[in-house]
Order: sequence, then C-alpha cells, then structure tokens
Amino acid sequence: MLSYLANPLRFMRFSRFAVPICFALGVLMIGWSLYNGLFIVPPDDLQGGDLIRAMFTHVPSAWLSMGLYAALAGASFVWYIWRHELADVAARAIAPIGAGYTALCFITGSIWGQKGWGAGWHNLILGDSRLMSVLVMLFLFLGYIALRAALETRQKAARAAAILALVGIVNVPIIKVSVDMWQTTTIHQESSVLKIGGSEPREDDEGMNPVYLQQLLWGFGGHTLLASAMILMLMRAEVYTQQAERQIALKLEGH
Amino acid sequence: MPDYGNTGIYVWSVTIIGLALPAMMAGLSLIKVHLSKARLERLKQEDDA
Repeated sequence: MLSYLANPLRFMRFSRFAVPICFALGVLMIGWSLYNGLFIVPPDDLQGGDLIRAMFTHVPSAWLSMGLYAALAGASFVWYIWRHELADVAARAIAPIGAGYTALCFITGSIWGQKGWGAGWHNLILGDSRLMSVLVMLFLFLGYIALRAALETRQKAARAAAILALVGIVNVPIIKVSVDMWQTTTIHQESSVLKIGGSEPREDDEGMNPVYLQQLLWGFGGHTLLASAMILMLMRAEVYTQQAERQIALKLEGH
Repeated sequence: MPDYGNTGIYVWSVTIIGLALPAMMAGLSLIKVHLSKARLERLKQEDDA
C-alpha cells in the first residue's frame, strides 16, 4: 500500500477521495464520543464527578500527539534511509498538526488540573516528569517546523529536521513511562488503559469503566481520522507548491 | 443542557477548546491546499497564454 502511494500521481488520486471520507468519519466519531461523554455516561465519583468528562477531549489529544510524533519520526526515517520525497512531504505535513494536538493536550490538561489538582500546569511544570516530557515534545515539534523554515535549501532542511525528529523519538517512551515508573516525580495520575511497569494494581482496582473507555476510543479514532485528513490536505498543498516551483524554474530557464 | 455544577465551566471550556483548535487547524489546512492549487493553476494558465 505504502509503495503504491509513493508515486505522487497515485497519492494525489488517492488523497482526493480519502480527505473528505476521513474528515466526515472523523467529525461523526468525535461528535458521537462527545455526545455520549457529555450527556449519557454517568459521572465518576472517584475521579471528581462530572470533571471526568474533560477526559474525552484531553486523553485522545494526548494519545494522538504521541502517535503523531512517532509518525513524524517514521516518515523522517523513511526519507533519511531511502530519500523518498513523499516521506519528507508527509513529515513536513505532520509537524504542525502534531504541534497543534500537543498544545491542545497542554491547554485542556491545564484547565482540568486547575480544578482537579487545585493548580494549573503552569504552576507545576518544573520538576514534574510527565508535564516536562510533554513540553519537550511540543518544543521538538516547534523546533522541527522552525528548522525547516530556517535552512536555505530543501535538502539541507529535510536532512537536519529528520535528524532532530529521529533523536527526539526517545522522548515518546519517556512520556509513556513517566506516570507508571516514576510516580514520585509527577502529580499526574497513573495510566488506566495501558500500563507499563510501575507498582502492581490494587486488588480493588477494576481498571477504567468500559463505558468511559468506549467513548475514549471513539474520540481517539475520530481525532485520528480528522488529523489524517488535515495531514493529507497539507501534503496535497506541498505537492502543488513543489509543482509550482518546478514550473517557475522551467520558466526562468526559458523553456 | 446538563447541569455539572461548579465543574461545568471546566468541562465546557475543555470541550469547546477541544473542538475549536482542531476546527481551526482543519480550516487553515483547507485554505492552504486551495491557495497552493490556485497558484499552480495560475502559473499553468500564464504558461499556456
């Protein structure tokens, strides 16, 4: 599938149909998740009552920001090893969407923390392993975008940015384990869906209520499709821009 | 509208920002792809003329 889409012409044909489908399905799934999360599911008495409803926005954006960083590193790897132009176009399109979702994770977490912890993230960020590692990821996304804009030639920019993205991937597992293995260094709650390492679960711990988990997964699926539509749109824009630049170059050469 | 008491402001703020930011990103992506396509078509028309 990936090698089939590696041809820019095939990619443009595929994305023309994929964008509206991903967009429409994403909006429907997010709407369904929020409708159920805000109006149908009961409040959770152990997790701040109705405040749990903030989870249906915050958690999908957090998962997606990590997923998008992994995708950025993956696309950078493919470009770095095989020098495939479309992988570079993909990496370039993923970065602003990843930065947006990481910012969303931060903003929504800060509002949730203001009530849940009695202090916003801006008061806690120094010295907290989870908050700091997510902030580092936001800076990596922004650094990637800045680096691409700063260097003169496309090849130099792509190379430097790919190295930054690949080095930065080490931060993703750190974000994940920061709440499970280093609980003393963060105020953030432990993972309740996929836990890696850390203390054994209590006997009375039944994990996340499946009703909440279902809405989380709908929200995550919806945001993933919406982000895919946005990335495909930005990739199409980049392909058009490159074609226009080639057109201008040909004109300057007098063809 | 359900009444979430004193947590309502937090829940609704998170939800509205969670909808507004992706909607803004989608809108900007749409504008960018249309502008790039329009630029390419203009260049092609200038070439043909």
